[in-house]
Amino acid sequence: MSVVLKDFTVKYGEVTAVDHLDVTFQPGSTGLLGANGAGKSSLIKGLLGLVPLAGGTATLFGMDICAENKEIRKSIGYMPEDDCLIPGLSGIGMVQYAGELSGMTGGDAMQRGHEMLFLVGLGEARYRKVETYSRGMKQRVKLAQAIVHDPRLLFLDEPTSGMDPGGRLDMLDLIQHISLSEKMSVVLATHILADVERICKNVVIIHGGRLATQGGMDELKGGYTDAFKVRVEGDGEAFREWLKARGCLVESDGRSHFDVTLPAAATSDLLLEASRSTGVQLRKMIPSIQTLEDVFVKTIEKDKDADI
Amino acid sequence: MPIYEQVYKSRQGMTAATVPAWWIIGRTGIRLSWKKSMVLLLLVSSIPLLFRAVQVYMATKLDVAVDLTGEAGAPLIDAGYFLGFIGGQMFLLIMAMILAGAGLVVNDRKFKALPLYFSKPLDFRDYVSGKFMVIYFYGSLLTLIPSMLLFLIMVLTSRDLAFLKSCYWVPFALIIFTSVILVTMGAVILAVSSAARGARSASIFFFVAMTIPDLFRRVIPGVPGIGLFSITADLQQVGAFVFKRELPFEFPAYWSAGVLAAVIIISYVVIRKRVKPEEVVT
Repeated sequence: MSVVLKDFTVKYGEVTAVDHLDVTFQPGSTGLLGANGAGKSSLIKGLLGLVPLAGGTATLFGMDICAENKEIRKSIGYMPEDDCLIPGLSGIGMVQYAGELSGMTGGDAMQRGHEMLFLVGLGEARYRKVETYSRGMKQRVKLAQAIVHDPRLLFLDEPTSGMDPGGRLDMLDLIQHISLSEKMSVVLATHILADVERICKNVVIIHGGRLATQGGMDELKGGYTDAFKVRVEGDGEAFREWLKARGCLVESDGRSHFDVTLPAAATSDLLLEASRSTGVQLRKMIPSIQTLEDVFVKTIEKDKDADI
Repeated sequence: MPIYEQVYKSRQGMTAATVPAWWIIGRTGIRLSWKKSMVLLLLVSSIPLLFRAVQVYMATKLDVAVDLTGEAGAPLIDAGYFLGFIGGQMFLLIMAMILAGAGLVVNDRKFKALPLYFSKPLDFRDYVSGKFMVIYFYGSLLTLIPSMLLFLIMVLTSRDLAFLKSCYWVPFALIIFTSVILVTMGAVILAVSSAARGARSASIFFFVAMTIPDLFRRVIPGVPGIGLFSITADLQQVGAFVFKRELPFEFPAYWSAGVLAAVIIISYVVIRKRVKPEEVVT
């Protein structure tokens, strides 16, 4: 897979949803992370041609999305965020219909539709009308219709949205299983960091429609090795301000616990110096293990600081 | 869960379809519209066909049929007979349009199916053509197909070739006139279905658009040109022109054709505006 976006811009009237984005999606599973309204769905819709581009270009599999949109969509699967259904059809009817619209013959689409519905766990309910499905079942049938034609690239927009914990785990297992397919790359757009951390090898974080950071999961998590969990006794606010003034990213619980990320060139000595200078006692100082949430929060904060 | 482990497998050995997307959309739409009410309507619509078929048979085989005309030597069955048959089907046609077409677009919008459609390799033209195929199919079952069948019965049961020689052009006129009717009504019902909030309101609006202006025309007969505002009156006028009959209204047939063209263009603009993969609220 090769998805290359250059100066990619999507606007809704005066509102810019995706703002001159330059990003390349690597093969494999990629998590498209961002807060609500960051522009994740707009980015996918722009790539699919569902919303017009306000500027820039994008190529999928080496083809321009504007010039060869129909051809590109033969190789793409899309699971939208909303409860999108074809009314009046049964589960198997909808998946077969999606397969046929994607260029399969009726017989092939029917055969594969059954396979996909069993795969997503709707084998027993495949003859029921889709309108009667529960939220979790709707999510599953949307996934089945997105993969029935065996796309090279699968876009999943908030696939676990509105699902109960058990259903969410099932869905994540399923996506993880599909993402292991050598032929298919997966782009998972979500604001649930744990989902991405569990499934994806690569991460693209967007904030306010712009690229905040991107890279491999391990690479991004390893990018902040100088992070510490600190507990102090004394004037915590002064301690925090002192560190922030020297380029540290500091989060606190409002009392005495701090998560401190040191700037690139600094060492843990900076924390000792902060303690000395502000007169607080360091009660705890342990290296912090980075989670994707840490990376996300720090990236967004950095991005906000850059805006200011 | 199934008793055996399910794994995702790539597609292998499957052929690519050559069927266009609009055909798939149309075929599925026809299947979804095939409901009890539609079957009942089609059964009701077959009663005039049966009546006319008997009439045609009598006209060709029994002398009594010729006497029924009241004019010695005048043919009972001519081009106007087929025009009259289509005219008689108009109310049933409006009902069929409502049953088949009112929910076509509005239900897709209501269930947010448009992003699903437009994420597949198809475009606006495919989508609208597919939906229009549904309208054309059911419309043809009430107009073109039975009238062609009547023509065939007439030709096959005639004693000589006199009818065929004088009316050989009627099948072409039938195709043209039913196409004008179905394109006009199809455009209006799709536009109404695109713009409405539900299938019920689309049905009501379409019924009103098709009947109320015609009702006004009948209630206020003295106003010159009032028939122009009635789609059904304009269709009658164009039909009379195509079948070389005396025009039922005082205004020229091309004015009616112009009104119908305007209706189709306005409907197209409405459909184009409303059928979008994403509803953007700015």
